[in-house]
Amino acid sequence: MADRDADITEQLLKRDEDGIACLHGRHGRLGMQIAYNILQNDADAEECLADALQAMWEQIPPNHPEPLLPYFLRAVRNLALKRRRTMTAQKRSCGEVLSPEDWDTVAELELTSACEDDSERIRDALNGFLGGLRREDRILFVRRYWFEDDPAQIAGILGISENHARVRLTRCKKKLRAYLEKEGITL
Amino acid sequence: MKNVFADAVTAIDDRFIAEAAEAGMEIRRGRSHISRRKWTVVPIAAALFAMAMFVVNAAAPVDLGFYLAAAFGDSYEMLDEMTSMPEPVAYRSSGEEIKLEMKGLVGDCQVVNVFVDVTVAAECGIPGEKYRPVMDLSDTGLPWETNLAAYGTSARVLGKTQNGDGSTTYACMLSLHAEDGVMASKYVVTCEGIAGWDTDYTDYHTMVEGKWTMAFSLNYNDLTEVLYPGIEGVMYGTYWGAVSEERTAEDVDAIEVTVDEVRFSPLSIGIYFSADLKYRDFFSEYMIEDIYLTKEDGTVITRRDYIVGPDKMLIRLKEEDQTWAELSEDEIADNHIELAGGGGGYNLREGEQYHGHHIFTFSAPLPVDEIESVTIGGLTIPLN
Repeated sequence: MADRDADITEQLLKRDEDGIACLHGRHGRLGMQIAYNILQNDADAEECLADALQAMWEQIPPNHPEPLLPYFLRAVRNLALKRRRTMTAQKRSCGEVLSPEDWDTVAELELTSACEDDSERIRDALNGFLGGLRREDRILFVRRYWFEDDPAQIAGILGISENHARVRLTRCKKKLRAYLEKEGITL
Repeated sequence: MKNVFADAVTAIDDRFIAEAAEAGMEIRRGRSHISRRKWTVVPIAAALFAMAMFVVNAAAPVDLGFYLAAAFGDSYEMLDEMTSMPEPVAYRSSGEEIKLEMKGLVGDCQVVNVFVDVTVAAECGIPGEKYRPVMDLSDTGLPWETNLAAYGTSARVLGKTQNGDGSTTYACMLSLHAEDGVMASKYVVTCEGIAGWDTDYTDYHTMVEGKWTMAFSLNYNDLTEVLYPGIEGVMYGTYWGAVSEERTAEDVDAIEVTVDEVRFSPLSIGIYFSADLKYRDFFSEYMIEDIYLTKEDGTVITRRDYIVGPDKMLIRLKEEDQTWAELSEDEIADNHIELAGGGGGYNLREGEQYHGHHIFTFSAPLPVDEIESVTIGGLTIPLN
């Protein structure tokens, strides 16, 4: 069994189905957590994870992601976000299955709803902002807003109190706002 | 506005996502925040040499006898080795009416007490019996530099001195409570204006406009001892939340815990434990009130609720969130333990345990070597 992400990628590139099993074994739990955070439903999250694994099988090759982990997590998140938006917009009941073909669409999600003029600037500014944060604050921020962990979960990761996590998140947001304004971006 | 922000977050770089993902995996692999603390906060054993050099070079004890005695009573000398004079970073003044002077500090990994003199010039109109000054002190330097936010700041006026030139100096102690200490962070005290109470004490208004700022880095001599007892037992407390079908009185009367870590210095004690995740939902409403320390000679030091001193409030501390903490001229208390704070967290889906902690500070310094055990919620933990 592959014990490194690079090995899993190699398996997938060789069309070895064990690569999917290894990916699931190695990162499925985290993928499931992200999907659950977004969908708040075990069944939906499991389906979303399965869709993401299928998307990995469909996309690698031709893609050759390095590193694999964020690529996989991004797939999970995008699929979960799309499912959530669909459920919210159409007020459907849970359980809709997304086809692997949706992957190309959801990969573009990040560009569809941001301000058309500012999306690239905001993305660059946000990453610049994150790069300037202390590691612990950066993890706090990313776990909250990208992984959608709740503050109690983040507190457990960082070994701080939930209240502490909330306060630091608030401060990070205020600092981000000031940073973006300095960059000429008003939110 | 919110959507723009959320969508921008979607585009966070892969490297930051990988970093945050790895952070969660550290918990799953067993390298929890507790082990992190072992090498970030506890320099006792492995870094003894480094600490010795630190004491000599960066945090040599300073004479704070007056302040320590006023704050902690006669046994203050026990804290001498823990005192230091922080490195000044900046000082800015818009006038001569106010002078801020950093005198030194004493701290461990859970509480840092900063001693500051605030001198108010005579022309500010030092109030009489019925007209008292109020100054706004803002700790504006803290937000991005430290993890102080856990419990915030409390402050006291230890005493005041009338100077020969008519000015008045207030000796203040700002107590910073934090989970992981604030060592090496920057602390800024800003005094904005001076205001006086109306004669009926219902409101106050600005007497002197201005802004005075003092900044310094918090380097101090942390002598915290850390034990890893690994004791399993039941901790009893008081549950303030509702009891329902899912949550019976039996469930919430007691918590089965493992005491993972105890941090202990003459200034404070922190008990860090883990418990089953089934307790996670009501921890915020669960209060451990019963704590006492037993000394080797059998005497017991108990906890009491914080006692507010006589009504001599004359300085208010403006917190970053714009709330206010009042500084009081507080009487020196008897030897006792006060709850400084607590908290905890869990990582659902990546961990199976809740991690919690309770931190208590001492009104007078305690001799670590003479303390035999701490008992919290009925659970006794040997400290020797």
